[in-house]
Amino acid sequence: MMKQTELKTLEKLSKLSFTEKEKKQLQKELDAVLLFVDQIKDADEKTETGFENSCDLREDNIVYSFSREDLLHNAPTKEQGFFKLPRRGEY
Amino acid sequence: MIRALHEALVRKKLSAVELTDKYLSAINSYDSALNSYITVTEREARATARLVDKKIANGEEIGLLEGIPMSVKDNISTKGIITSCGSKMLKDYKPVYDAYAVEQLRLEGAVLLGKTNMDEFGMGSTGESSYYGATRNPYHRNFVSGGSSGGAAVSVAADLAVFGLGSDTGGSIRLPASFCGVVGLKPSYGAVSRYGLIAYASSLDQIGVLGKDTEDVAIVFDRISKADCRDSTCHKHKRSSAVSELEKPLKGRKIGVLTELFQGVSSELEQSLQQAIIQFRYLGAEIVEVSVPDSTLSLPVYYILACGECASNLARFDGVRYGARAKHFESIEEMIVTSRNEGFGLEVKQRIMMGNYFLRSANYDDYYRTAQRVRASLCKDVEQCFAKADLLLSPTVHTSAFPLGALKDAVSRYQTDLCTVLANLCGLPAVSVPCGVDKTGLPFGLQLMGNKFCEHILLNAAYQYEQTTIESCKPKFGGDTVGI
Repeated sequence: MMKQTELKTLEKLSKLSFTEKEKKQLQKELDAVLLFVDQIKDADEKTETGFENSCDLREDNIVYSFSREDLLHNAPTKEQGFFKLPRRGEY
Repeated sequence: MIRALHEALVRKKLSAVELTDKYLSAINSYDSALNSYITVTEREARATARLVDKKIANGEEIGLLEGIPMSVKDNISTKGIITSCGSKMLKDYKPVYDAYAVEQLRLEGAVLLGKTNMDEFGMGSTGESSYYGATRNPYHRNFVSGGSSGGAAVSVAADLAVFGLGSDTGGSIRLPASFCGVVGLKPSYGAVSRYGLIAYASSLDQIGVLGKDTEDVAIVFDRISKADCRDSTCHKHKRSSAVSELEKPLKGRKIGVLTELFQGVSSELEQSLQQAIIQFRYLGAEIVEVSVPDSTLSLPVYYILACGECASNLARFDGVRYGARAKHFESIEEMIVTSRNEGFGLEVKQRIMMGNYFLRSANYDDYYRTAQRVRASLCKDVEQCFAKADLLLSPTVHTSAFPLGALKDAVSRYQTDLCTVLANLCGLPAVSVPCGVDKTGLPFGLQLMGNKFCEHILLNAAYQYEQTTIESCKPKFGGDTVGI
């Protein structure tokens, strides 16, 4: 069974937060999923290496991509051509 | 169907605007009951259709897809048109560029009718986890559409689009295609550029096509399957045309029946599949038995990898550069957590949590690394099957569509993907083709899996099979059904 401390760590890693009630339900679901995926631990592995998809790398040339205006288009808040975020720390 | 509509346009039996209007008015009349569209792009659709009509009036030749109305799944970027991924997180997000596949289809002159509903970020097999509500099956409105490309499948099945673009990470095109009685192709990994597809699990995701018949799917696939340097995993090689191979006789083709994936199917579905096998024999194909002994492991392997990749891919949604930002917070940290909490639905949050569990350094070897090794070993087994056969046959899913809300827990929902995930894990092309109906009239699908980049062989077999299925085997609308 997944421990409460483990759930807390996962919440932090995932940048999410749950109410105590939600956590109870989540714990139940995650335990069932873990039980389900644990069968791979007994798998008879025929290979030592993991799976890899092929990938064609290109030269790292500078080409036109997007304008600053485009990149800021969906920003919740922006100012003078920058993403605007709440102040962090005291000045 | 595309060819017939193209002929009608060229012969001026109907104009492109009339055709588009016909579909738009069907969406208007029926989609409130089916919920297959999130956004309908009426104005843009008519504008594209008008351009096609102008060309026809000027006596210019038009391409096969020009003026043909299509739908696009809402995780495939469309410039200036909301691309929500079925999530509250992206409910106002307007991409500033088109996905490669959309770009190609726009160049071909296809008419975009709108963006289709989907399980949030592609995470689901039933079409129920969208922020915009569940998509409903056009054969029975209280039944699931299948997912995650549920809206795409329903839009095609209910004649609310001629064809649809979808995406498939673990069966998301084939499963709804099976439940809605349409043809759904998941191409080989690397056959279609993923540029502009909002990522769920990058090593498994692939854009594909849903259509009324195999020829339509082949026509569209040929146009979107090209090299694209903006996706480093998109293959550079020249592709064989799928359309030009459709008529080829099946004599000499070997079809392998994947025995493990037949275990547990209902007798009704078993009967439909056996009938299909007889038809393939009649068409000249040789039927052999093939086996992937560990195929049941493909599901846990898939969920470990998909959740791991999802946790990493969805970390980008932090309310800083795009996506919903929470209204109330006191620090940046709180802004990120609250934005994600409010923006993501339960299924997505659960998969992110699970993914981070698998990726934690303490668990990484036991889960993620082991899953990658088992994935490689499953691929080896499948490769051996292709030494004996050109194509592998199985059910697409073990049942026909089921009532909305029937699968309550995560594991039972995951299990619907049993027959489909293998193609994603191994990067292989696979197609779901209608193969009959159950006693209540709900469609069944059969799945054919091909060797890498052999879509032309795969679609050839699907097409030939389709030609022999007698009308009574093809799913029909009736009773609670919508059609035009």
